Amino acid sequence: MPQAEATRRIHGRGISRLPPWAAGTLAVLLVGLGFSALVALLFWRTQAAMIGEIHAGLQRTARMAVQAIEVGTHANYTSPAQHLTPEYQQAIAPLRAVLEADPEVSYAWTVIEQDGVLRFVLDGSTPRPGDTEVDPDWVQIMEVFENPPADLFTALREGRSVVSQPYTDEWGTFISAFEPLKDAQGRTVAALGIDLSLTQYAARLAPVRDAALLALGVGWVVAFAVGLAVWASRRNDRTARELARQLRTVNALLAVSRALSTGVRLDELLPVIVAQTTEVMGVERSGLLLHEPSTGALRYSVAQGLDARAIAPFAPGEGIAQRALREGQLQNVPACAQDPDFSARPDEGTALRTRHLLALPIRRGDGTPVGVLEVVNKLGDDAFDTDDEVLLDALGGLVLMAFDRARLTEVYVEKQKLDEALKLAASIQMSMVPQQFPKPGTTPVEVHAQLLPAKEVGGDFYDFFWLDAHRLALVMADVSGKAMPAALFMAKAKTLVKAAALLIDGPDEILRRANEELAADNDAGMFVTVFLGILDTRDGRLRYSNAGHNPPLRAHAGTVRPLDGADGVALGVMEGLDYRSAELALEHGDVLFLFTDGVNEAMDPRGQPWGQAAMEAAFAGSDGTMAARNEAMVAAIRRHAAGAEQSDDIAVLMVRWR
Amino acid sequence: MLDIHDTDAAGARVLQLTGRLDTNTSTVFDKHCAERVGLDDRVAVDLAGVDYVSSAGLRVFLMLAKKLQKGGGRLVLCGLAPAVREVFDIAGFSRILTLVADRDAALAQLR
Repeated sequence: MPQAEATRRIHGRGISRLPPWAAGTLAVLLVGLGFSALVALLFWRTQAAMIGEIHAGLQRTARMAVQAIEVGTHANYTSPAQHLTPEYQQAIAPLRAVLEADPEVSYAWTVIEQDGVLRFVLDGSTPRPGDTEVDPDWVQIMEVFENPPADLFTALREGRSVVSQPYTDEWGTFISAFEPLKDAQGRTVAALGIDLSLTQYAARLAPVRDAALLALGVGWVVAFAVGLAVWASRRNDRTARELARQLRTVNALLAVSRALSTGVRLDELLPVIVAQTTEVMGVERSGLLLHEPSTGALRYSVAQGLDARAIAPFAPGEGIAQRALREGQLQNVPACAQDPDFSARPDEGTALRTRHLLALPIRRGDGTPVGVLEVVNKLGDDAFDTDDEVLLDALGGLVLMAFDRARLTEVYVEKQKLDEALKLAASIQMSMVPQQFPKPGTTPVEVHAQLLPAKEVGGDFYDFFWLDAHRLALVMADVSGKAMPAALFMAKAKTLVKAAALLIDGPDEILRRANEELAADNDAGMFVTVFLGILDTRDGRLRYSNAGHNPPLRAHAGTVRPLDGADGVALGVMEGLDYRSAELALEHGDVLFLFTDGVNEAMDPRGQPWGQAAMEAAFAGSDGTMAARNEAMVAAIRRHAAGAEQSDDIAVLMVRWR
Repeated sequence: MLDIHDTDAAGARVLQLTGRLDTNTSTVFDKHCAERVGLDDRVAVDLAGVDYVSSAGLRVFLMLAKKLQKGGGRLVLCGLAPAVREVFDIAGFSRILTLVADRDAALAQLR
């Protein structure tokens, strides 16, 4: 997995993991202390060099002064009274010259040792004859040097040049160069001291110290600036990483959304979601296990980098995914090896070893388990954090959405199929009934009919056909059941009745024969109510038989009466039934109204049926052509329904003899 | 829409229906009959609480009657309101099904 390796290297460990403030502080300390150490080193080196230089300068001055002093006459000055003598003034001239040449030198003098006591001999600060301004600190000849520095004895007793450590005497604090005065035999007879006051000494070192302090100050300012920059850049880094992650999330969601909007098949959608999960979560592997309702097992549906089908399902109780489903809670396992529920089966035969695992249970709104979405090993080898949990939860929502969508689509397709079937049923129904009516004037009868199929039914039908030149058969029927089965049964019934009518005489016999055919092998228990009338147009005689249908109405001389007296059982109910017939003679102007129960049982929005009485009244009140009367009946039904959905087929047929 | 109360009375199964037996509720009743009613049950269907029966409802009674006839059971309907009775009469079902006035009469028939 080279990509994982690369990413892990980039993520790294250590400093890049620190929060921005800590990284900034660390940067300040590192830069500040490093700079301080450097400045301190430079300071000590520079100061040491300067001190060396000062010491060397003092020593040089001391040596030059020593060479200018007449050692031979040195022992001549034994009394303080001698200090104004020309000889003494002459003897101290080199020392006076030193003082005048180097204003930083405070004193220049010589001492001798007598019985362990040091006494001054020459002093460069001794006033000249007639001097008005006198150095108050000048020493008398033979004045005792109280508390002399130890280094002075080194010069006197060992005859070596020495630069002293800082020391304090009655005249101040000094650093001095001591130089032995030697006679012609090389014996040290006295020592010369050149004093540099510590104030002067410090003043000469001050620039170095000041420069060091300045450098330190600048260094810490730079350190703070660097720290601030590190903090800001780390924060930007974090912002950039966060942005990149959000961008990945958005892209993943978009990709899934695109898939959701184009695909509806789960086997296409789920791999997309799982692939995006791997991408957006930054993990080594993602997988989706689906719940099998019959066994309760979890089976890999999609598993990146694995052969999902080769991994046996996880029975209830096996694996962390099952625990997630059982507890209904997301499982964040930082160390899988130590989890007793962990199953290493998916890792078998692969280079990957599951270390960290997030397992999200997915359930429908009603609690039905769908499956478990899991991610393995975050790149960079961290355990999963709360951000990861939230993200996985969102991705789990997409899985559920895919399922819901697939299911909705399935329902939609089913509904489409049903709608198609219903449309087909209605079109079969409509195509089976005659839509052409005899032209008025060409025959002694006027017939008109209308069929209004309800959405989910498809079993009503009417029919009329000539048995010979004079006899017209009239059929009104209602099939129990709905949709396609009703439409097919209707087609069968209509064909059988017509065939029987053309072959057999008498409506009762026609229905009997039709019933025998329809009742045979009728396991679905379907049946059809049929009214069959045969009108002889020569004399207006009507013979009719009724197989369980609503009796038609006859309008005669201002009254409406049902055609009864020939009732029988609906066709298809059972074999071996006999039917009765009745006869009546129509008179000129009589109108027959054949209908199905979709008329008298038409519901208003409250579920109240129109009713037999209202229907009869509407029929009685209708006039004009048969078409006009049908229109009027349908309009009256619609008024009653008042917008309520038509729950049953409506069929109406009007016939008038002459 | 339709309530089915299935009880046992003196060794007969009494199905007390309340509501309407239309195209939609008939499927509920059909399912109930198919799943609960045994082939040789003696069944009384009390329709006192039913104010409407459509042809789909008739079909369920027809199927139930056929099933019980085949298995040696029996079916009696009782408590039909006049409007409901008319539906049975018009379709001719009164002739092939046993319709009685009330539940007592139905149980007496089944005894």
